Amino acid sequence: MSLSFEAFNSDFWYACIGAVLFVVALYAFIVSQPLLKKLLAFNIMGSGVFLMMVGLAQYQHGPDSVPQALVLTGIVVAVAATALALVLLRKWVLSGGQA
Amino acid sequence: MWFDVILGIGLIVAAVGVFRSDELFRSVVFFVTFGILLALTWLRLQAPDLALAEAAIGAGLTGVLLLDTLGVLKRPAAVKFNLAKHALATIVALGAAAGLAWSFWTLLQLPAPTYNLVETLAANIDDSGVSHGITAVLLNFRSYDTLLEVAVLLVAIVIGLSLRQSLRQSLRHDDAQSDGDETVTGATTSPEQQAPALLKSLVHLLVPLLLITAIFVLWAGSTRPGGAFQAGALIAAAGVLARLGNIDIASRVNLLLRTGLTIGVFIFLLVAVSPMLTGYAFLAYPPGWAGVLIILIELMLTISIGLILLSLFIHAPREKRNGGSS
Amino acid sequence: MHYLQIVFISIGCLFFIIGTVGLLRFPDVLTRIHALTKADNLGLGFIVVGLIPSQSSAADVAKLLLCWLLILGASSVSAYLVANQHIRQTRKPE
Repeated sequence: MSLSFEAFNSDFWYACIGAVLFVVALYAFIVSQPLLKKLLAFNIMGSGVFLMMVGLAQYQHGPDSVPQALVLTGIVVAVAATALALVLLRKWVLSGGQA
Repeated sequence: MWFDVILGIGLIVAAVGVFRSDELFRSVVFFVTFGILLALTWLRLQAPDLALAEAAIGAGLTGVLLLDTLGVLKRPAAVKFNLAKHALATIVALGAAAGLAWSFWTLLQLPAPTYNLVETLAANIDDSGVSHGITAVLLNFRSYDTLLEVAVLLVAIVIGLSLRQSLRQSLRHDDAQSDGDETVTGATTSPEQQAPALLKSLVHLLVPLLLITAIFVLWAGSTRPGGAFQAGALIAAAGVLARLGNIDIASRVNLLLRTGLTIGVFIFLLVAVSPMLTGYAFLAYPPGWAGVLIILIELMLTISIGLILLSLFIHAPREKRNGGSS
Repeated sequence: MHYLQIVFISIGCLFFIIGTVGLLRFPDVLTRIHALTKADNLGLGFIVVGLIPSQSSAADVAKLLLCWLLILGASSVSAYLVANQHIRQTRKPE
């Protein structure tokens, strides 16, 4: 069971950071009470996943356009989903809901 | 390497700052900081397109949307400590952490994959019509994903527009609004406040500059980092800036706005389906036409993405005011 | 020349640190805006000057200077807006 630590370059480090961000944001997503904080936690979970995608794909062969293109798509869809979630949140609050 | 260590730790500190803040405003500020640090991270990962998109969209536009929403929210209820929720969250987070750690461990022990996407892309990029890898992947090799993505954006704006106010109110409002109405304000300022003159002059300077930069980024996407999404984000930023300077942009949902919102998907679908009439496959560009078609699709996508992101900001539900705009 | 660049960029980072210390230690919104706008923009100017010899063409130098000018304009206008809003909010009871 050999582990090649020459694989530990900066891309892999960022993939690990992405994993940590995902776990921390998952915890905060379940625990946070204001809805806006849950939305921010969800966004950070998404960013963690993006970091893992790009980091794990690139640590062996260097910069790779395919996962980068998919993550670019992901960033734009994430902001559209966040904007939609904010619209729903505002409608909810303006109609008398809590948070 | 040490810069990467510090940047990674900074990301985690910013994320923790989002969650441990008592006020929502502090959380939003930490979130924007997180976005900017993430843009730096994309640069360190040698992904300049992602850095552009994250800075413009992730930090910039999302920050504006969040700050605008903060003006609508009332003071949140006091946070009660719920032991069951914390316990559940700890279990789930530990499970996720264990799963991720196991996946990373297994990944490090797998033999190197037999395929190498970097080489495959480099070998085929001359056939794609552009010379920048990400644009080639987005609009040629994986154009189906991009088509579905812009459809998702369109769905998002359809829902956003349908939630802005009731149909009767919107019909009455669209008829009553006059041209060049310069007393429109956002949700956070009272109706009698106009934009300060300094902001207006900055807006008059920046909006044309942003539009020119957007067109350049769109054109440069064929050969260097750039492309439709970043250009669309710049157009949305120009629109948001104009709106904050009390210039009436796209606040009437008329046929022009609807055309602009849908033209990206429409032209993309047209280009995708028309090869089928001449015997090619769905989304297969005819040989020699790839570069031209990609630029055409990107131009329409830029317009659509810019208007979609802008409309999600402008037409967000606001408090009803007599004769006020949406 | 390389060492001169390092000196300039280090001075720029020093000004950023000073600005951040001011942000953390000043008591009031208005004084913090002072620290942010003045110190940070000067630090950015030093960093831009330090980066100029590394650029490969005059167009890149022009882009760097354009970045600095735009940040200068945007930060001064946003500082004015924040100060304006702060004064308007704290003077309301009058």
